[in-house]
This record gives sequence, structure tokens and C-alpha cells, in this order.
Amino acid sequence: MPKKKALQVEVEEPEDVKAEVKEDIGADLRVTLENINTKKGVIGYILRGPTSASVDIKDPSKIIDYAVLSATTFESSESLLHLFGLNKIRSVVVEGKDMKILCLTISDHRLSVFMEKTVDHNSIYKKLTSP
Amino acid sequence: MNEEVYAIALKSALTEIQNACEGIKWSFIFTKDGTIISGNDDKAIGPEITKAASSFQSLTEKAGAVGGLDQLLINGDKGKVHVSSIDDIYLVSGTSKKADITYMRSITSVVFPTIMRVLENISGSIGEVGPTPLKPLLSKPLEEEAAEVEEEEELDEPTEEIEKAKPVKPLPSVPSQQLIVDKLGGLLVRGDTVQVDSEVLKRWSALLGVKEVSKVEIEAFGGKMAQCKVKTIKDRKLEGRGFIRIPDKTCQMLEIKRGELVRVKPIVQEK
Repeated sequence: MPKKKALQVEVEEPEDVKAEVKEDIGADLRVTLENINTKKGVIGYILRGPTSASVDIKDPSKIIDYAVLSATTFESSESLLHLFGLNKIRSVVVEGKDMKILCLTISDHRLSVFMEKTVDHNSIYKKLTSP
Repeated sequence: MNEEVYAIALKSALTEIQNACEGIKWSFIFTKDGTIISGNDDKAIGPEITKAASSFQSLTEKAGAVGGLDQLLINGDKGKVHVSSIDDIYLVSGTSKKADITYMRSITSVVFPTIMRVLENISGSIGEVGPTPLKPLLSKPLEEEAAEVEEEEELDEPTEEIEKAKPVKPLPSVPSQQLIVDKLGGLLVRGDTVQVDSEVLKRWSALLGVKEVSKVEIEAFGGKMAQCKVKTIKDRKLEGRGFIRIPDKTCQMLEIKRGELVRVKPIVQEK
């Protein structure tokens, strides 16, 4: 029956569409991050999706340290928010003595932007979150 | 000034900061070694605070990469957590969503160090006097040495060559995973074995319906490929971080460096 067939297709389609949308988000974020990375004072970024990752750090020798710090920031922040019932992460700003990091979750992508302390992280946040 | 008085002074300081800054719901202080100095009310030093301090402690350790932690602001759906570093201690405050963080920062960064200095001048340094109900946190042993010993024990039969083009086939249904390369060095490291997060291996096993994934195919973005045996990452500091630890020799063969990305997928031996 054609109706039944149509129904079967409908069941399968949303998952594909969902996956495509997620891929699109990842691709869009990469483009935005590449653009942000050209800004003065921005040191680099790490973008992690469910199965893909993008890393662009100006000093490659720092990538591992930054990746560990980025992952630990998400873990600790989630743990703190969970403990005090503050729900999910919107954004995290880690300010070190030398530089700072803006971490946020968009869809199921986790991204960290590393920058000098003088850079306005709010403008970067707006760029990343504006539709 | 005895310990009890010191504790009362710190507790009062926290309460005053809370009164001055609208929106602070709770706050506590802890040192770099994870010792809780004081909470602003009796409920503050509870299991939540202990867990939070422990969780935050690991972050302060890793923050060396950015020159040490100065400030932290976590913006959650239902509120914020603000942490400021004052000398060797951290003031952690939980605030409402609408709290004025800039104002709070200015208060904590000026008032709190002053109070601390006054207390120190009166009673000597914190370390000498040992203020409040000090509550040591459970330290997390890194078990690095144990992991190293384990690694060495597994090296009875070092193989030199990376396995190439055996009758193996990558499963098309399993998506590849991009991972960051970390080099696995040392004289006794097996040249044919890489290390990946246990979570990734578990996920692949579940997807493939196999007991365990023992081999992976690594593809560098330059196009070079290699098939290697795979084990879980043993260094707890690196576990769950999205890394693949690859021996030096394999890195050279794949023409990859530490910090680069590679595409990794599981493979199963054809029977």
C-alpha cells in the first residue's frame, strides 16, 4: 500500500535529516572558527563533534596541553553544575595568568577558543551563537 | 588568634561578601591542595562541596597550560559558578543567573584579599596557623607508575614491523573517529600497538557486535595508512581526552606529529 510505504520512509528520514543537520552545524562552526582564528589575539581553537574533531592552534607544541585542559574544563564544569543543580553548560570562561579560554557546547559539538587576555570573548561568543 | 576564631572570621567574610553582592547563593574557599578552609554556612562543607572542590582541583592542575588559573566563570542554564584565585586559595561562589558578575568580581578581588591579609597579619600565614575545619579531600592517585609497570610487563615479544595488508577488512558501517595524536615513547614500547580511549573501543565493540576490537586502521590526513593492534590508554591523565597514543616509529611511517589529527576505524580479522 502506498500509504504504508510513505509512512516507512517518514520514519527513516528524520534520522538522516538529523544527522545532516548535525554535520551542517559542525561545518558551519568550523567556518566561523576559522574566521575567528584570524582575529588578532586569538591563539587557536579545538572543536570536537561526536566523531570528528578540528584543531588549529598556532603553537602546535601546545596542542596536547590545551586539549587536556579543554576536556578537563568541560568535565569539571559539568560536574560543578550538576552538583549544584544548575543544569547544562552555556559557556565557560577560564582565565589564566597568560591567556583565557572560552568553552561552549553547541548541539553536540564542544568547542574551545584560546585567546590572549585582551581579546573580548563576549564578541566571540556572540559570533559563535548567533544564527 | 586560634583556629576557631580564624574560621569564624573567614565565615563572616564570606557572609559579608554574600550580603554585598546580590545573587550569591553559596560560597566556599579552598586551597590548591584541595583543603576546604571555610564555608559561608553550616551546610556549605557537605559532600557536594567536597566533590566540587575535588573536581575543580583537577582543573587547577591542568591550568598550568595557561599560566595557572586566575578566574573561572561557568555559565549554566540555571545559574553561574564563579571562581577567583587569591594568592594560593580559591573562592568559589554559586550565583543566580542574573547576578552581576562584574560587581561581584570587583568586590571579591578587592575586599577578600584585604581581609585575608589582615587575618594573616594578625595570626601569621594560613599554612602556619592552619585555620578552620580543614577537610582534606580524597586525593586521586594517578597510578602512572603502575601503568608504566603494566606496559613494561606486556612487552615480552616486541615486534618491529607494523602489520601491513593482512586479510582484514574495515567495516563500512562503523564510522571513523578523528583523534588527536600523542606520541608513545620509550624503549620498551611495542611498535605495533596504539592506545585509544576505552570508551571508544567499547562503542566500536557494541556497534560491531564483537567482544573486543583488537586492531584499528589509522589514516593520516596526508594519506598514509597503517593497521595496528590497539589497547586502552593506561595513563589516567590522558584517558577520555580524545587522544590516540602512537609509537614513534608508527608516527614516522604515517608522517604525523604530536597534536595532529588522524582518522581511526576498527577492523576485524576475516575468518
